[in-house]
Amino acid sequence: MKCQDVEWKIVSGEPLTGQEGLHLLECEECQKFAHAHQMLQDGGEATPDASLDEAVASAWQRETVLERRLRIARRVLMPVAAALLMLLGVWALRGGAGTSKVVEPQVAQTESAMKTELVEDAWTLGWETAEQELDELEIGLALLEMDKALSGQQTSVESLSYDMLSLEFGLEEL
Amino acid sequence: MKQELAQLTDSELVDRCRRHDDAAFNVLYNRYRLQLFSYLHKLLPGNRSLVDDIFQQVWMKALSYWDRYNDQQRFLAWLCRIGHNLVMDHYRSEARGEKVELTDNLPSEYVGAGERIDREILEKALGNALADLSPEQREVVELRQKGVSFKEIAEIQNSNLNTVLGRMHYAVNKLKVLLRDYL
Repeated sequence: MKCQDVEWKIVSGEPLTGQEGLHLLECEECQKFAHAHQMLQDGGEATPDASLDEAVASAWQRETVLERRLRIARRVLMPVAAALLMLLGVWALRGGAGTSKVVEPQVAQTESAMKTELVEDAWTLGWETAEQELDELEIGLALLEMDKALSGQQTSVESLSYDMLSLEFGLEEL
Repeated sequence: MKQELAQLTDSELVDRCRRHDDAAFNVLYNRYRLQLFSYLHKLLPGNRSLVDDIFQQVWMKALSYWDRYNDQQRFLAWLCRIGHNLVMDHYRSEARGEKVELTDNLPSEYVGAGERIDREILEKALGNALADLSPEQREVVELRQKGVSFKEIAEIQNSNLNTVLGRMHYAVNKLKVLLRDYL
């Protein structure tokens, strides 16, 4: 790329191609030529239009308003976030989420243990009830034996014991 | 208040801009708008609409990246560097034959930007350059300043297009030599 090519392009007023533009960016002489051409053509330094100044001013306003909104949002949100964190901390310390997560299996475990205990209790109770019933039966038999003895019917101790055993273990069926 | 702000350095104004001071931005903008615009004109000859577009983009980037401005840098040099990078992106995409969005480029190194030429010096140099031209050459420059196309000038002067372009080229070179110390 020669400077002359770029200079002619500048004079003709056509936009530069990519290659010509890249040459201009690197060539100080061509930049001076472009500057001189611009001054000669415009009769002095080029100035931005009022509309361009307004566009930049409104961009500044937009940026400022956006930043102010962000700042206000930060001012409001930060204390709220801090308060929420504190509440979360307090809740965690009081075993909020921890209890529900850790204790749940314990509750289940306790329930199963309780079930086992209940079965055992029922069995024990059943056994005790049966014993009590047997005792009552024994007492009833003893009273019957006494009644028989008082009415003159002789019954030996062996036969009584045999009766008792027969009742308790069903020996007669064997 | 405005006078006080006008006394502040670029760094002080930038610092205020970071805190969203409208008045400080106005001072900074007015301090450098002409120089930046002229600089972009130099890099994008014959493309006024693109100059406008990139001029706006340079300020937008400056607004978004105040924090990247180094107090040791000259503010104008920083702005020009942003502009230079944006123009380079444009030419690179043109060279690749692509039409792509200008990418996010930020100044990476210091580059000197020409100071604004004093109005009196400029007018004097322009007057001298025009006085040194032949009547035909001067007429080309004056008609161009009025927005007359080269084709129309060729018809007015009863010359061919290349001759008219050659007269303009000569006039520009003359001014370039006269303003060598200021360009």
